[in-house]
Amino acid sequence: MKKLLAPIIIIIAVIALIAAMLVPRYNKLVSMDEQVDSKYAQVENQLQRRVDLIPNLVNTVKGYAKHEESIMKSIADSRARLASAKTPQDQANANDELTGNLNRLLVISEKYPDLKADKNYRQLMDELAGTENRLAVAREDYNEGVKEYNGLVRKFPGSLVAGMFNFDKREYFKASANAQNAPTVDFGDDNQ
Amino acid sequence: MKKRRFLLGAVCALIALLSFSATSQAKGQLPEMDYYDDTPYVQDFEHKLSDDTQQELNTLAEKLNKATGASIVILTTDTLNGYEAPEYGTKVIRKWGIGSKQKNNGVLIFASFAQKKGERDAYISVGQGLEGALPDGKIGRILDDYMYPYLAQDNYDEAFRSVFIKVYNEIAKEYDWNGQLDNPQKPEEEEGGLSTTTIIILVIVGLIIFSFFSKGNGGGGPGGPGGRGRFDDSSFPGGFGNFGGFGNGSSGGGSSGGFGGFGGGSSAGGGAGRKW
Repeated sequence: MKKLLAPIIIIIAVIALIAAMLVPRYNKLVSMDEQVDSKYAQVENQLQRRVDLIPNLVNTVKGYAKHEESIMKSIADSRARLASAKTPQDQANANDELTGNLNRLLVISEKYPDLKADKNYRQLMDELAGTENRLAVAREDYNEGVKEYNGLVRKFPGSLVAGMFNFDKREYFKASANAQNAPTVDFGDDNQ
Repeated sequence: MKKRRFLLGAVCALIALLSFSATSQAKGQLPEMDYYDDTPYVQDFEHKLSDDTQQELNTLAEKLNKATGASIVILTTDTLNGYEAPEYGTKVIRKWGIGSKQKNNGVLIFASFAQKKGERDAYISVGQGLEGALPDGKIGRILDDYMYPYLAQDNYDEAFRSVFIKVYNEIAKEYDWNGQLDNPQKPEEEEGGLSTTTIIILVIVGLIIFSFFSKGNGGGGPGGPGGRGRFDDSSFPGGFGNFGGFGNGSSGGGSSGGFGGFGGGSSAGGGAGRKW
């Protein structure tokens, strides 16, 4: 009987030690997971805001530029795609597409001085540019959170905990290279 | 022995390589705040503003900060070092910690001057705590109405002053504080700019406001050791109780009389602006 006692104590001690090592890791992973979620919520807020702003913009532009139907249709299409996108990757792609179309609209609007001078239009374009920047900021914050979280999930002993409790790596919100910059809204003429 | 020396060399080389790659991939430096500036709220690195305007706006900014906790900071710089204006503004707000840490109610009004006209930036960035009072669309309109016309005339004092007061009043309204100032005069649309009478009126109004607020401040000369950390309440008629410091952030940073720093506020990227 006495012979058994020592190994049992050692086994219990080892288990306790492992548990003591893993529990803080587990808690850390949970709180990081929550943080990444809340950062992602910020990204989604800004995406939603863009989606909400587009119809107003489309209506305003229609009043001045009736013949630019194709660009308005592409904007409406990419808006719909953004609204229905689910994964970060789909959202990033749809958002890039929308940004591209908005930039095209900016170029087209050069032909319509009345539109460019319209208070409503200027305000909407300011809001859209601001949203784009907020999105860039939220995306950067989110990606930094993901990087830290993924590092924890993949490194020992976090990886052990992550494997036991099914913490998966998170997906980055990656924009394609050409969509990194916020669209610059330049109304130029009146300031020169 | 030889082996050890080689190892040391290798480590040094590695460190050099790492630090090189770290600096080369960065977009450029963000400006360091000048804590020893007489007017910490007006960081006029390009010396575009007159001393009077700097003092006036700094005094107003301190007053607003005392009453509402919000901060308005002005920055003039040569270039944005490769940043886009929105990103630059957000990063400077975060780096300098403009606004309070809990409310993130900082505003940064900045302009660059190195490029030729038409390629310079003038932009206002806000912390998320003030996005309701100063949404991007409204900021764009304030800039269109009050800043770019004056900038085009090279009237930098009036450009920053008008925009500052518009922003100041919006913040006062947001916090239900009755310290609002008279709205600045809209510049005239024509290239000819201001008529002489408007200039005279503006100067008089400016002088009255300035003398009113700077009364008892002794001109705000460079404070001695520990000078700018706190200041005399009597400088503001009516008084606002004890000076509460700037938010909850780093206070008493420098030991030899620098500005204590802003409250540690952040920004989520709000703001608007264009080239001028």
